[in-house]
Amino acid sequence: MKVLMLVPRWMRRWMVRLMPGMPTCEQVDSYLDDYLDGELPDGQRRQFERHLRMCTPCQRYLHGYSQAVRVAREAGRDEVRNALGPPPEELVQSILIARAQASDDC
Amino acid sequence: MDDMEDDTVLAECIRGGDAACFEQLVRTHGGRMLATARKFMRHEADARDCVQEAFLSAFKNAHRFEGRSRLGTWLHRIVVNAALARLRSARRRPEISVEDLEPSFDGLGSRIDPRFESAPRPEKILETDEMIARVHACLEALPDTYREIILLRDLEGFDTAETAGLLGVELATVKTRLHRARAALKTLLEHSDLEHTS
Repeated sequence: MKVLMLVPRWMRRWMVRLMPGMPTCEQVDSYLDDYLDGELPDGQRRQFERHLRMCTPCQRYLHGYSQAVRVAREAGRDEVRNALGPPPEELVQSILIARAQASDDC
Repeated sequence: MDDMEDDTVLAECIRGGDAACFEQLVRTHGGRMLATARKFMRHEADARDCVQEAFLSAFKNAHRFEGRSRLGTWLHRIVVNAALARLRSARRRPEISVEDLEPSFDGLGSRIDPRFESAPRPEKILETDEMIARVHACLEALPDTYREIILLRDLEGFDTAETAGLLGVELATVKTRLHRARAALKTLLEHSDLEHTS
């Protein structure tokens, strides 16, 4: 891996294109979610990781993509944590009134 | 009595028309349901209306609660459905093109666009409140179809099959839309970071 980093980036990109069996960046892009979820079959995962070792743009992209997913999930969890109090009393009363009216209508 | 039995008793109580039981349900679960509705609705009033609709639906359909899941889980799904229904009935607003936010590849399938190599990364968003606000601002910019997918999969935690059921689409459609939505969100977060740091 360290030896590969001595190879100029433009050359590494051509190596990625020319290596037999190496998926393209576009193919790797289509596997991103399965890879992040640990659902890629072993053979595909090895190819995916082999491409990543060679391709700096895909490394950076994967990092940014996985971080975007992480912050979205954290935003969802934090919102729930921040909202563990009771609902506003005004809303509670509105719901109870609506429920009583619905009961009357039945 | 364990929690599942508590839920079954509470549901029976509501089916029987007990107003006190129903009030207990609202006070116990209303806060969390409002938090969920706020993720989908752009305005507080709409989020509250959504929660009210959800509780009325729960009241009318209490006979359908079979105790196979927790009552909170059942209510969570009801409020998500109510929110999705509201989103669909809302007047369509001008939408950005998600294609403009997706990565580009050349004719040989290699990734292009140097900006991805130099853009700041989303992990630079550190403060929680700022993070939540920025994520939501970016989600607001997405077309509704893609916003819904990220809300359901990443913020609400539904899996692919559950999301497909809620949206009435195929599993493959969920996966494709999610991928495009996440790519677009990544780009929007990076752009918003550029605006905040420049």
